[in-house]
Amino acid sequence: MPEETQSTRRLLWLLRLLLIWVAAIFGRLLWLQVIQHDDLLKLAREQQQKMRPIPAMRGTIFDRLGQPLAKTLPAESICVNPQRIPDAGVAADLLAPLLDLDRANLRERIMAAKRRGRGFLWVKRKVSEEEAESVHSLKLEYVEFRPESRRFYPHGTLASQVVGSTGMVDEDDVEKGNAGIEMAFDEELSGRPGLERTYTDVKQNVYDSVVARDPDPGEDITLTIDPNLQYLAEKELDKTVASSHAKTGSIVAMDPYTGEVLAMANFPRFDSNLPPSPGEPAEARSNLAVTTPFEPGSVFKTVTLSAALETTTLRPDSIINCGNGSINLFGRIIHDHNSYPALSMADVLAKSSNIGAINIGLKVGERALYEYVRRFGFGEKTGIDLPGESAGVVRRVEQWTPSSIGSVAMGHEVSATAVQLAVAGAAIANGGFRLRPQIVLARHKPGQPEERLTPEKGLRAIAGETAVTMRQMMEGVVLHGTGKGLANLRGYTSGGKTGSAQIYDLKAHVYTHSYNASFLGFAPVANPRIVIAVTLNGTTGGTAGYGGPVAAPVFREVAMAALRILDVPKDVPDESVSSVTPPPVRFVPEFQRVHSLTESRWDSGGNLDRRSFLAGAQRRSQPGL
Amino acid sequence: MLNRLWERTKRGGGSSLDESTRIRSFANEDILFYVKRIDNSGVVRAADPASRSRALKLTGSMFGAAVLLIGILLPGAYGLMAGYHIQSLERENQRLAAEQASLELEESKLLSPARMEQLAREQQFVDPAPQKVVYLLDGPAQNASDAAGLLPFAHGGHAGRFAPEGSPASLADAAFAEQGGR
Repeated sequence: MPEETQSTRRLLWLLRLLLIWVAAIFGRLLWLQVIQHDDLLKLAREQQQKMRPIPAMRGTIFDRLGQPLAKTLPAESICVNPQRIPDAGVAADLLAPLLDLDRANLRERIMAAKRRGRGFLWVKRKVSEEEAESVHSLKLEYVEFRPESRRFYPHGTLASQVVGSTGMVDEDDVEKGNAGIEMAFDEELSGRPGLERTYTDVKQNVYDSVVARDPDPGEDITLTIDPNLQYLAEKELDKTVASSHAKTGSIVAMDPYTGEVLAMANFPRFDSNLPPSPGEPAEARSNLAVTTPFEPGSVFKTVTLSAALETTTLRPDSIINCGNGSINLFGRIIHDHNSYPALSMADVLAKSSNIGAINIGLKVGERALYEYVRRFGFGEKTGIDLPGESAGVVRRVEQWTPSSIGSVAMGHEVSATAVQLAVAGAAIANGGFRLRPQIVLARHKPGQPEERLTPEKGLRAIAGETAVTMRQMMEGVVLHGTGKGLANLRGYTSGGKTGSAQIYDLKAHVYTHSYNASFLGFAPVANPRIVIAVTLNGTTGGTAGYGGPVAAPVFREVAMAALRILDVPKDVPDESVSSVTPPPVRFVPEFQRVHSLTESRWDSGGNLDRRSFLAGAQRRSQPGL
Repeated sequence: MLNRLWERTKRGGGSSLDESTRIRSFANEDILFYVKRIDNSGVVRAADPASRSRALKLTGSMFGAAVLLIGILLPGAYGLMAGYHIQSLERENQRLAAEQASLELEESKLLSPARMEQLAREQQFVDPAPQKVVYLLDGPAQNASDAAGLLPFAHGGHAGRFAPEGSPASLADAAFAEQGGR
């Protein structure tokens, strides 16, 4: 029995110890599972579950033919944890050659981050597929890959100022539009990123994920730009800038009835795929056609003559005193480029007589001229959906000097952008309505039907009959005026106005010998389908740098291409320009019916009636009517 | 050495040492081995139904426990595997979407106007001469020259050429004609 007692005692002790152990475990479990439950659950979730943003794919920008001008593709960015890098030199040796980075610079960056105790360092963002694959194959534990996206512009410089570009606001931020449509519609294109909860194993491999919030992809935007016309316009512009030694230039081609911008070319341009570089011209990233106003010169005479037709008794065949080439305007002597004793008002426009325009302006009067300048939209933004638009400069009539009326009448003391000129030209071409230029044709939110944007209200700038008369007079410019042989189209009628404004040197306070050469034209004359404003800034070479010899041929080439692309039937025989001498232009005094029918394309609120417009377009395709 | 120790002990210890303290003899010196043969062929194991039942119960309960354990763990394991599979499919989906976008981009590059022009130049394509452009329209006029011939004022410098019915220019022509201008 004594042995049994001892054994029992030992067992009892063991039992007690076990009970204490169980109690300790139970107590610990109670502590962990009940008392610290919430805290530990939170810790566990932090370790095993991660909320990860799901990037929303940036919307695509299309041209009017449906080809992408800007598109986003997924890309990977490479980062490291500097604290886990055993040897910065070895890491730099491994990564630098694969990622095309400077080895010494990378090593220095890693060491600096290590010294500062940072646990994160971008090595290279948005790497190419090949680069990512080569780094993946290294299987370095301190290297991380983060999914991002990369914006591609397949056509490079084509319409780059219109499409714009994107860039990082700061290193950790997402990319934002910083120019053009990318900037103007950044919010719509960006969409809204989603959120997903991921569950990871001990090796941090994701084995499950739950989408907490779906990402909203950005909207796709279709532009009104026709890529073929845009390309031709850019090519012509580049050629002419080189030949005329101009510094900058712009072309705006617009549908006069809808305000759709079919081409907007600028020189210089930039490649949207590339970040700004030190040697890049300052103007390259600016949409000059929208942001940079200039003195339009004689092109502005169209405004003066429109005002005269509506506010005075002057008609196209009214004789205007041209003062034999000079005029004394309140003590200021103004000379003309050619001496004319007198010209009809139509010829004042055709031959671009400054003195004639001044006399017409004097007849119109300051207030009326100012009113018409504003009616055509000068001095205010056109409202085109592009950033940084300039309103140009039109001084209030109270600020005019006595001789300002002479300057404004011939396009000086005012400044306008190429888009404003195109809008003014469209008003003459479409029967008198000032339209808001349209650069976005449609917007498409994923999962929803495409929203096709309709032209906004047109404001009446001039009466229909005035517009028709102006068109006829502007045709005279091409047939026997300053645009003769320069702006004539093969197989089509055309009208327009040349402009050559001497550039004023603000430092020396003198006019220089370089010009703002411009041409504002449309075609065909009967039913214009295209309005084109061409501007070349800083042309040299005397009269060779004028709007006629420099800008009008650009109009001709672009207009011919536009009419071919738009499939507009010809309205005159091809040989008519060279072999047939046109009879003198006759003007129709009564246009009441014309006016009413022109108006029928627009409703009472000034909106374009598309059905009527399309019916007209169908009729236009039937020659012989 | 042992004998010396024995002698010394004998001298010191006297008669207190008995024979048991002497060193034993060598092995097999005084042992006689005897092998007893036992015949167990007649031995029969006694029947123990309780033991058999216990063994079966133990096996059954072990099997049941294993099935239960597998039953509990299997869905979770399948869920885990399915999770990995779904992740893999999602990655594949993303890869394919990216590839599609990449191909669309490539297509756009290939269709760029600059490349088209270059290809056309290489193939020695040229723009047709203006008079060779024919519009396939209803009616007798087949090209611009023919159409121009149908119009009374086709060669004039007036804005009314080819003006469609109801257009401002055609009405201008009409008004002009009414006034005896033509």
